[in-house]
Amino acid sequence: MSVVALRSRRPGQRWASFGLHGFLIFYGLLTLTPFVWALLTSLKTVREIAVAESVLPVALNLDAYRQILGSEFSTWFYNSMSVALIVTLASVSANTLAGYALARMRFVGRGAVFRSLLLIIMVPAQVTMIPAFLIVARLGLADTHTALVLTSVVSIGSIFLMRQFFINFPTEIEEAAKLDGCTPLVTFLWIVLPMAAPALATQAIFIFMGVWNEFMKPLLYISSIDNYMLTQGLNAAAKQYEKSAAWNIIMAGSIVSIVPILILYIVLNKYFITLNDQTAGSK
Amino acid sequence: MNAGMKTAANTALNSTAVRAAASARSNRDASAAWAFLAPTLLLVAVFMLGPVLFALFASTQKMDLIGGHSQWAGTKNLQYLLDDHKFWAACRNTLRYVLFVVPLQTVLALALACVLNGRVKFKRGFVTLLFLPTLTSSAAMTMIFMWLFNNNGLVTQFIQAHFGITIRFLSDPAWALPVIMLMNVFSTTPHFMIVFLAGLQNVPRNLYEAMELDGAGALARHWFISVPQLAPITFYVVTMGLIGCFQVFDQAFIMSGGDGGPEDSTLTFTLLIYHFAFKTYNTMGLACMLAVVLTIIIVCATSLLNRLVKSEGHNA
Amino acid sequence: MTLAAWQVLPAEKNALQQAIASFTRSTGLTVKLEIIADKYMDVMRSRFAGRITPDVFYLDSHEAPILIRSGVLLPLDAYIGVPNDFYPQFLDAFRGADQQVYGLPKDYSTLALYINTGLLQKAGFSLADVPVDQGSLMDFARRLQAKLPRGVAAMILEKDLARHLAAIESYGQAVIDARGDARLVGNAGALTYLEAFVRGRKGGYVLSPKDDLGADSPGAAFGAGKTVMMMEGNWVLSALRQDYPEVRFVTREMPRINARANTMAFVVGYAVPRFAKNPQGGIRFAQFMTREAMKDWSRGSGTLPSRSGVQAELAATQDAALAAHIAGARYATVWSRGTSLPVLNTNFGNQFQAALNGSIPVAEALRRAQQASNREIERQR
Repeated sequence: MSVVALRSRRPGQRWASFGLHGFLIFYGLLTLTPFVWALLTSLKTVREIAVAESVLPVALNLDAYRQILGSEFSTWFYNSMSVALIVTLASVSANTLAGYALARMRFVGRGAVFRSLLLIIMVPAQVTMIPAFLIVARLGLADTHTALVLTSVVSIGSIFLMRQFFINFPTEIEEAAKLDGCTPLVTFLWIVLPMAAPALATQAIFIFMGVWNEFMKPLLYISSIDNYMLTQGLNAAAKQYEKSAAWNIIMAGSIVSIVPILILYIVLNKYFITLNDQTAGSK
Repeated sequence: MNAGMKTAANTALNSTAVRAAASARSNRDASAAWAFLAPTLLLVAVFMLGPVLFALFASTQKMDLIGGHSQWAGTKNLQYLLDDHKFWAACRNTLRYVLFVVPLQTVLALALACVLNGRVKFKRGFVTLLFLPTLTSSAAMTMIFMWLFNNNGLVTQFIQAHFGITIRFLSDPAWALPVIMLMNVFSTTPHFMIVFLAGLQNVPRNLYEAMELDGAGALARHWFISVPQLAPITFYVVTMGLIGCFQVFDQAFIMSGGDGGPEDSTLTFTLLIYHFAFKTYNTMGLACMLAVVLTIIIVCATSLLNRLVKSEGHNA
Repeated sequence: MTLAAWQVLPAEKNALQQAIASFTRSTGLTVKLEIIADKYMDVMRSRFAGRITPDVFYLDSHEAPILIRSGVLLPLDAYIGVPNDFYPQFLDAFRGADQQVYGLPKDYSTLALYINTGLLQKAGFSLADVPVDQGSLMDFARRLQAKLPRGVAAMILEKDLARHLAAIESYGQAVIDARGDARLVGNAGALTYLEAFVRGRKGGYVLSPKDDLGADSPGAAFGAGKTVMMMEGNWVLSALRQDYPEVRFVTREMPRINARANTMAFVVGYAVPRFAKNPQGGIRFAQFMTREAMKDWSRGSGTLPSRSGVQAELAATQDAALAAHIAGARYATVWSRGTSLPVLNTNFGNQFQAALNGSIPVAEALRRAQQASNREIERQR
């Protein structure tokens, strides 16, 4: 490794690196544009947005934020946060266990289980939505957060993800553990799981995000205003007039919703980014 | 384990005692596996299996879900669909969509992940920046794109100023769907980029270093190391990409106001399913039959994919 | 007792709370308010499918036929009360095939012509120059456009059938016939009417607010001064007064078509589901809101009362701009025509958009819309 580091970069490489960074900056700015636009829009008045004369707001108008944070925002925020956290913890556990079983353990019916799970997500939600609600209603779980939790814990996409990750793992270490006499559970918990940090971090972020941004399910299942998730609440706050959208409030709402996900991301992102100067050992 | 130990182990494996122990272990393996799967399968059985079976049943019925009446329709639903020009429009649109978006988002995500895994300054910053589009809800993203591409929007004006042609993106049947495609690529590529990045963490660095010492350039290193090592992850990205794109709904709904226009050019399968399930009377059976057809199409597509790329990669 | 409403606008919130409070005072029943933030009818349909329904809920006259046909609503004829001064078409919109009424109208909106007097004067015209019949109005728009600055339209257009139904039917052919099939073809008058709009789009004096002006609603385009005239419902009034106070405008009744006054009405009513846990409570609430409390509700919420008697009492207190809307209630066509109308609406919107873009002639668009609709209508039988 030190040999490579000591080697000076060829001029061609420096140009390539230049171009690469240039492209990344360009693409990065491109992706930043919608956010800047959303932020600026949230600081305008409805009239400014409609007239659309300038990109910048005339004055920093915090009305939109005041409206959002004024109503039962804290209740909705707390609802969404608690449901999202519970689901993330339960879901990551269940999905990872399932993914590992499907990837590494040999048993009769493994292929069938995997293919059936995939088959289930291939059926579009538009037709399963109402029957799912029927089941939730029959179980007496309408208008409860439990309904949201139970229906969100299993994320077949994540099971699939974990399975593919585990397939990618080298098998020697597990075989060694097996020969040492470790039970599958012990092997899983103490040997495989630590290696799976990048996959777990990725899974956690996406599951949290999925629950946090979920709109249709809470809309169907939750009817009392006190039980609203943040998505419903923000939607309700944005309906100022019939048939026209208060864009500043909608944008302010989306900016505010992004904050917790961003925080989670900042906490977890070190698991899937290797920094240049680390000596990442061979695994 | 060195070679000597391996041969010793092999000969030992041939004895019946070891074979018995092996079968006991595989039984334990199996019961452990079912234990690992139990919570998942229970929830799936209660909340997911039922609705799917219901949809299958309903596809043979003429059903009014609100009033609770249904009657046998046999294959009439399928016949109706095959005769319906909207069905074929949805077919064309959705296929176009999938064939464009899935390869593009996969390649772009893979390229970005490889780049960001290498020697790049401000890595954390770039990854965070490029992750942002996934955070925006599809509704907000759609509205932004509609604002950019309407007849007085930035993009339209830019093209007018520099190329002299006027394209009415949102009301031109030829352009409405491409705008949605672009929007989708923009918002889902970061998601898959993060997945690839996570996958790349488990690729031993010494493989890259060995190739570099041999004088291989960055492109060659990634092609011969990253891509094969990521095969199982790529299988995931493409499969989920296929499933997601075949089921595209939100963007088409918001852009067309729900009617799939202009001239059925943004009508996708799920939009048509939604129309039959929620907007017309007595047609829940049609919606479910269409859902069955869509599911079969997706199954075929992923089976085709499975033939080309083994889901097990190198470490089966 | 549970009431389900769609989003409750800030303006209506107080009025609703007061109404609920006085209901509780007079009947002793408490009201649990459920607000469904979006996709109201989709969620209500799911609730009906799951048999978990509120006791009374808001029902739009356009969506009523499907629920009525499914047989999930209770007839409310006995509770209309005396005097029966509901506008007759409003009650008819909630009638089923058995002629029973399944919803009590609570308020309505109609379309009127909004004219930006400031922009009109700047272009050198006065209000007296604006014609009262449709044909001349289109001609006027063309002349007006020549005098307008860049980026301002003479008139904006919405393509939905909901805006044009009354006009199309002014020529004597009903859009849905007695059997329930769509009938758009063979209506020469409607063809002329619609073609005028297509010509207007091509000529640049009738524009689409979303596609051409970049505004996300007609009200936004009008408030931002991007158009001189628009035909819009009274829902836009509170937005105009609050967000765009500097716009000077007047309202006129919709232009006459075929020498007849016409406009569209969008009616909302209270309906009581068959499986409600407390149907009597729901009925009592619907009665209360359409009898004793209607005056206070209309006054507090700024909506238009669905009973002409109450309207007479309130006339003095209402926004002057509402007069044109209210005048329309007498002759308005309600946006509701059985279960065939939603099908026709989707197909019309789809095809008329193509005609507006110039890709197909209007006659062809109508033919395709009719054909596609009838196929789907047949499927619904």
